[in-house]
Amino acid sequence: MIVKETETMSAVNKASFLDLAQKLGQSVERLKAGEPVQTIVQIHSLAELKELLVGNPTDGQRAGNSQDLAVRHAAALAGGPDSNPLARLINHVFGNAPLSAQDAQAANAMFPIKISVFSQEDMTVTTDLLFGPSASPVVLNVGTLTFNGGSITTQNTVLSLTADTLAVGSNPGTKPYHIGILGVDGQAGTAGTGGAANNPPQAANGADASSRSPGVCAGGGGGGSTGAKGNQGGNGSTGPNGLPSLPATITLGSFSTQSGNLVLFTRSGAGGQGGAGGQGGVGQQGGNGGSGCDSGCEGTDGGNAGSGGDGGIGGNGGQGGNGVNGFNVTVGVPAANVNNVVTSTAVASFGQGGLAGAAGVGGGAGSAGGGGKGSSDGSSGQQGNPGTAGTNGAAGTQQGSPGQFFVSGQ
Amino acid sequence: METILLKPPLTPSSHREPWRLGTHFITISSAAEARRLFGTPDAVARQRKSDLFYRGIEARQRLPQGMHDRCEEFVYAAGHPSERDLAGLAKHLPLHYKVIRMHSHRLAAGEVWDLSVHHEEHWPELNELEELYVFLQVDHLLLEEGASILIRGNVLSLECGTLERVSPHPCREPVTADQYDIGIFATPFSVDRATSPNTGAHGLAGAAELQGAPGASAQIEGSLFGTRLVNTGTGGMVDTDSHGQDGGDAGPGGHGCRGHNGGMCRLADLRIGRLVGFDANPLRLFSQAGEGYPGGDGGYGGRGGDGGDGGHGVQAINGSVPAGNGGDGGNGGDGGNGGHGGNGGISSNIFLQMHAQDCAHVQTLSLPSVGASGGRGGTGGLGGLGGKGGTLLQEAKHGKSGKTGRAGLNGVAGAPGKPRFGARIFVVPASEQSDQKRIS
Repeated sequence: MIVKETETMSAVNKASFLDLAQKLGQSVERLKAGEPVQTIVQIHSLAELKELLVGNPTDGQRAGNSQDLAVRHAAALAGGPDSNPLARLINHVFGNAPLSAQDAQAANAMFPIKISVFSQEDMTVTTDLLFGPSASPVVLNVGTLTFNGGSITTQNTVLSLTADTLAVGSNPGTKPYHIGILGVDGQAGTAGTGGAANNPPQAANGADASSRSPGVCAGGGGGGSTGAKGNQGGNGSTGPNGLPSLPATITLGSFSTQSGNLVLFTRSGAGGQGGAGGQGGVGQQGGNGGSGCDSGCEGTDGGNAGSGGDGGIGGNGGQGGNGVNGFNVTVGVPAANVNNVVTSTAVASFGQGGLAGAAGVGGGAGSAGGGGKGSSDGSSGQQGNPGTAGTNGAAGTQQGSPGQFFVSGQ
Repeated sequence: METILLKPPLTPSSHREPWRLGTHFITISSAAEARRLFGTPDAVARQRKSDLFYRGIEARQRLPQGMHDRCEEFVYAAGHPSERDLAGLAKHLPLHYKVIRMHSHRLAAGEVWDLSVHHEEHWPELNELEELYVFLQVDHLLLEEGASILIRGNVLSLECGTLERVSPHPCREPVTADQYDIGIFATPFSVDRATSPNTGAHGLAGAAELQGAPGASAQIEGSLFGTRLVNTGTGGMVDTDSHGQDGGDAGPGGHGCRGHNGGMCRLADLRIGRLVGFDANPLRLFSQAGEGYPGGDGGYGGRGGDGGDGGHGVQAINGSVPAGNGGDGGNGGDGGNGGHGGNGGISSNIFLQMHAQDCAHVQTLSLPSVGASGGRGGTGGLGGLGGKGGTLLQEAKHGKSGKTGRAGLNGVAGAPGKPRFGARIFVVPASEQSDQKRIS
């Protein structure tokens, strides 16, 4: 959703990149010489952080941000005092919500923090620049920012981008946007382990026939036992949820006369696929038939081989993770260029369920017992049947809504 | 090898069965019948054979083979088997004989006459370990230069009126394994009862071990203040074990099984009435039982599992997780030992009965059977590779790489099989009054 307005930008918004650089303690001389300058700035309070990251958005932008967060991040905002205060802090810093004393105390305890600030007089983006995933906030302070075949993308990372002038070159680049504010998709859940090996690996053997005395046999070889069923494969774990796209503030003083449209895109983090189920274990090998008696000139038949056990059941696939709702993007441009800002959003999907674990293989048959003199060997056993496959995991239950674009004109 | 020259005593003649000319495959219902048909009529020679019968084979008289020896002594010498022996022999009745009857037969130069009979050709219902017997009765047998007679693994009784060497080049060539006139050889298979389908089998290769699990990477999320470790527990941080797991130690290779013993030479009772043409070129008699079969090789030791890679660490606003070290590789499994080589085959004794004046024109050679080599020891398995250290995010630091596991030890080669004494060859002079002629 795009919210566009034409309220007056504050004087701070119109400050040149050199002013901001000087304010942050960066070398103006180096910047005027065309050098890129990157410094670590120490921030001592929430107010300083607010000024650095947000600048001075309009009241309408702030109100719209808070109204939207109240709907799409209601649960996070309503969380108890021990819950993660990220959403409430964002609501205060980028919106107009007050901060509870407890949240203010928690925030103040984080300071001082260090934030990397990057300044350059003329920055031409010809490649795809990526900030994140889940990095510290990024502050880009540029004199003339030109997109010509490249893009800037953030992943679960706060962005504050200020440029005196924006230009868009003729080279479209590979991304469908110039600036992308993204979350991080959940990775696939852990696959279940295969069914554990049988212990012992073979069923009991049949007893060997014995000789009561040299040359005199008593009975044939015993039959081998049937192998046990293979163990079940482990279930795949649930896919993790995605990480949200974090707030971004984009402030542009002017558009170049030859410039085309600036394309912005946002999508939050999708849920990860559930982990695959592990394969069912191999069925236990059948026991060997016992040897027949072989004493002198007497002999008896060997014992039959035991059949292999059936293969184990495959593990179930894990449930897919959920997509998460993204945070909003605040954009300040000259009033004449509001319509030069083209925005696009996408839903963060839930993750698919993990694949079922395959059926375990049937165990092999044991060996037939050998017959004694003039007698027959035991019969062969059969290989065990394959087990059954597990079930596919269920898909995640929630999609993540994209953040809104609040675009304000001069 | 042992050659014994004995004095010829008196021998009464015995009734001789008239065989039809040709080759016959027959069964004999009793030891007494076999004694009457196939043993010498020379009673004194029988007794002298009995006096020597168990030389070299005394130890096996306690074994089931002893029953067979005592019954053979009854048939071919002057033995007196017990009722228990005869009861044991009854399980092998009837006896299966290949009978060859000829008036005269001439072997061409270099011709090898293999007298052997095989159960699968004529008596497929018999177990291959069952003794088979050959009786050759020939009035006049001529050997051209390089011709020979041999038998493999059957009990042989030979009755030859005149054995004549016909050679244009009289020369004295000593008896060797390659130069003989009569060869007594082993069964083409082992008669070792203490075997299983695994005898001589190679040891199985040891199981390779799986790679160790990778270390967990720190779970993080972005925030207003910077990278934050994810707190999913109740009241505490996620306990991230970022170190890679050690690879497992692999299994050892299986030991090789011992090899089969070599084939057995059976008893031979050779009765020759007269030698012609052997003055300058003696009758050469050779025997050797079968060589043992090699022991199985030990199996290869399995490969140790690789260590898991260390997980990624992070310096976050609410704590830090170190970059994980890679796990050590698991040790390779030891190779299995090679199985013992099979022993050389055993031999029964050989009796050569002839007139006293011919005894000086005989050369005999009986070699010990050869034990086989033991199986080779299996090669020890390689140790697994150490896992790579993880990376500390946002900094150029890495965890330590794991160490490579130790290679498994090589297995020991199996001991060689033992040789066995060759057959004792006894030259027994016929009595002066023995009747070597057949009754036609």
